[in-house]
Amino acid sequence: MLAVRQYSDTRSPSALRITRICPGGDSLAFHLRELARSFGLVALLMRKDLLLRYRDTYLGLAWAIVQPLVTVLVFWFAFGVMGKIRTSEAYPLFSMAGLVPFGLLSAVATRTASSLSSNAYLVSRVYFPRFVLPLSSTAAPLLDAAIGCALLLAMALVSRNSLPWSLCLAPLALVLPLALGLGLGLVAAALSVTVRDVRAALPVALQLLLLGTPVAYPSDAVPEQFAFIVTLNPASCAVDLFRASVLGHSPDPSLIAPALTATILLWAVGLPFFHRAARSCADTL
Amino acid sequence: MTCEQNTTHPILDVRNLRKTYRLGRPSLRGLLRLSSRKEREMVIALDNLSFAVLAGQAVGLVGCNGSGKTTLLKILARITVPTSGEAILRGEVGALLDVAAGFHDELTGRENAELAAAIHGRRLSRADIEAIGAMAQVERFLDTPMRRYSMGMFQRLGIATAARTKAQLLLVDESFSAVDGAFRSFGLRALRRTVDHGGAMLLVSHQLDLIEQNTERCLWLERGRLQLDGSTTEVLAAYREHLRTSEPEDRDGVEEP
Repeated sequence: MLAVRQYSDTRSPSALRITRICPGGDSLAFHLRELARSFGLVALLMRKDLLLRYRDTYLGLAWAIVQPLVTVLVFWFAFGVMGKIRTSEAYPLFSMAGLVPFGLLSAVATRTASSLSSNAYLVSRVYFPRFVLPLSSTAAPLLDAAIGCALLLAMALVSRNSLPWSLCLAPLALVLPLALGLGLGLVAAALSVTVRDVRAALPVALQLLLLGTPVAYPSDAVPEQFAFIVTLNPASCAVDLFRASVLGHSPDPSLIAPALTATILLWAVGLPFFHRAARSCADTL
Repeated sequence: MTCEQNTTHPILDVRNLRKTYRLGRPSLRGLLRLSSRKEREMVIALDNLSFAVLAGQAVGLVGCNGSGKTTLLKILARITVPTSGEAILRGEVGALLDVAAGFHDELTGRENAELAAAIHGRRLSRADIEAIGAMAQVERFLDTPMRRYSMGMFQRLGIATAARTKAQLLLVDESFSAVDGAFRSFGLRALRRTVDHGGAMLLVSHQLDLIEQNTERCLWLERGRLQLDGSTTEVLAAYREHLRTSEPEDRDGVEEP
């Protein structure tokens, strides 16, 4: 954000916060302190996001249930019925278990990417730590993921009699798609301030990512010459970990390294890049 | 510093503040630093501006379009960064930077007031919000999305919320353009309470009578430089004289009482 350093003023009896505005970057510690002061704001923006989402709709929250079910129906028809893909579980359960983490990743990336421009009314008029925006934009995707988990639970209870103990780890397995989505979204948000093409390119890229990730198909159904795509794709691990925990399989450990590398890289590039873009975007929005 | 002989601390101390903008669109080549940044023409919005504002001062800010008033306020509100120089602020800043006051169309007045307070790290109780609504004369519309508000309602709610958030430095830029005369003096009195409690206010307006009635000191900016700094009476007299003698195209947006 802005180059602002705060220190408590010992001379002043009123001990007001002193803010120094000057050009130049800020330390990570400063950003973290600013962010820590803003939890109330994050919570409020999250609530606002959720409220606005289905305000003035007749079906309201029911859309959050209908939307993933329709996707599963499409997948089931295309892959399960027409493509005759063999899965270890009933196909709807299998694809839903992939759709929840992938949907989270994809929605978080999309919303983070547009978080600066869609909140232009705030960004161009008032100061607050800008990282609040990507953070609070995760509310709706997280709610969708929670609803997805509830649906999965219902589907699992119907199609099999017992639930695996590893189900308790499923929420934990959502941390990876969340982190990946945020990282990707931060890079895209920073780029899209100057390169508007990113806004059109991101949905395309996410569709390709969906194709290259074992969401609608199991990874062993991939022909050998394309297997490297699944292996190197960081989203594969995000889907695999979650699906393994829901279905009680053992996850594929070879997927973890590329996923962790990608997450760390995206954050290392995206975070400073996002702050630089946020600093200048009031001039260009 | 201009205030060392004074016992009060400055609420705001601006030192050699400078801001330049580049004309045209940012390009991919510029982003990747393939082209030299000098290729695009530069505009100097603020040119080595220095001044200090003490606690208890209400300061007017006048100048023709493009003199740097809005840029100055945007830098002080930390919305945009200066190119060089610095500004030191004591306490919280409350900014009313344009007609829409940072409100979201789809949110209700109540939600917007909550949001505005949360940005300043405050939580408003139900009673606080009712009081803000009553002051802004929108109590019946607090639960209506603000896209259905009139411009006057927008501005009244902005002013009432700002008066309530108790910032030390108020930045007010043309936030009274759509409110009626009665609310104007009422709202300004509410904002002045901040000043009377040891805060300060910077008031930008082309309505010179507004500045005349509500500030004791006035700064006149011209092309990003400080043209004159003095008592409001003195500065406004000089500024009005300047407006009379300068070309009509320089005078757009200036509303003489």
